[in-house]
Amino acid sequence: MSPSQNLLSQLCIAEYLVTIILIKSVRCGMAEYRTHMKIIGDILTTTRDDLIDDDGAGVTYLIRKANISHVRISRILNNLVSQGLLEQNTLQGSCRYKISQNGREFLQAYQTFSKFVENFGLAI
Amino acid sequence: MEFLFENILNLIGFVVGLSIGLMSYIGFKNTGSPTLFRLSIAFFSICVGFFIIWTGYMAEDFLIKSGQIERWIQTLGIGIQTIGYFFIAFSHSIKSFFPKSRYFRSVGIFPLFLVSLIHIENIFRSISFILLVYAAIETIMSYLENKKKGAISVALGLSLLALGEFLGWYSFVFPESILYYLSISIKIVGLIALFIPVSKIPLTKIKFDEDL
Repeated sequence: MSPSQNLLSQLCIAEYLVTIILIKSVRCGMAEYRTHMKIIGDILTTTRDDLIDDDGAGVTYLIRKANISHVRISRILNNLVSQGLLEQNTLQGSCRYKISQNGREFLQAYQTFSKFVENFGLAI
Repeated sequence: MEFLFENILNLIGFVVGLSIGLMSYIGFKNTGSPTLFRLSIAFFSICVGFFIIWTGYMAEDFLIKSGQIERWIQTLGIGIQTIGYFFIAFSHSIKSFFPKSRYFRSVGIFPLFLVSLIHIENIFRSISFILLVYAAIETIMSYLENKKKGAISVALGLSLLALGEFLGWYSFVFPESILYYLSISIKIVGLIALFIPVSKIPLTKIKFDEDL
């Protein structure tokens, strides 16, 4: 490999990296994307920390706190209940959700590993 | 002297890769996060890559005694490490890594053909360099958005690994120079910087998955 070839290749790589930086700086101004895991974390955090009463949180309250659609939250809540992370109670015809012991342990692990992943500039 | 430096580098790489890989895997088992799964693959690959090169040097030192490590072992180790670096970059959404413009795509591939037809090892080193710089830029961007201090250390670690790869690449052009030792020293510092924020994560509070 001749020095001129080497220099040319370095210049190509430098150009390529500048392109990446430009693309990233354009993307920087866009809205933050929330992963599925982050939404689950938000729902569980709400059912643990932000409950108005001991009966649990209603779907409307969770929609407002987690900021997602009714269709999507219904699917996620069913999933969390079936996995034992949330407890579902029916009160006067409406469903109320409370975090279970498994949910608390999951949330603790989620929060710890969120910090771990954030060190790498990533979202869990 | 070269063997001693290489052994230190590869052992530190193995330990750091294994520690972060295990932690990511524990996280994946407990949360099911795909990001942690990708990080597990990344750091286990890096760990295996360093281990293979270390085994090559040890085999050479105690068994073969030819004075130089088998080239294919070194290439295999570096290749597996490159897979690890790919998964770190992939975790940062690889979409922006491959630009949509046809011109930039061709420019991106160009250096690989120019530099590295002589040795496959050179190809891996140049790919590793690009992936590491990309991951470092992403991590710095993330720090600018979230201001998480640990991200600075990881970005510094990735940048130093990239610089180490870059200098290692140059040491092919200028063999027997100080560049080689400088490259290894920088990589060691980079691996340590990568490990610092991870070592501060309090795992003791977590009740681990019983199946693990």
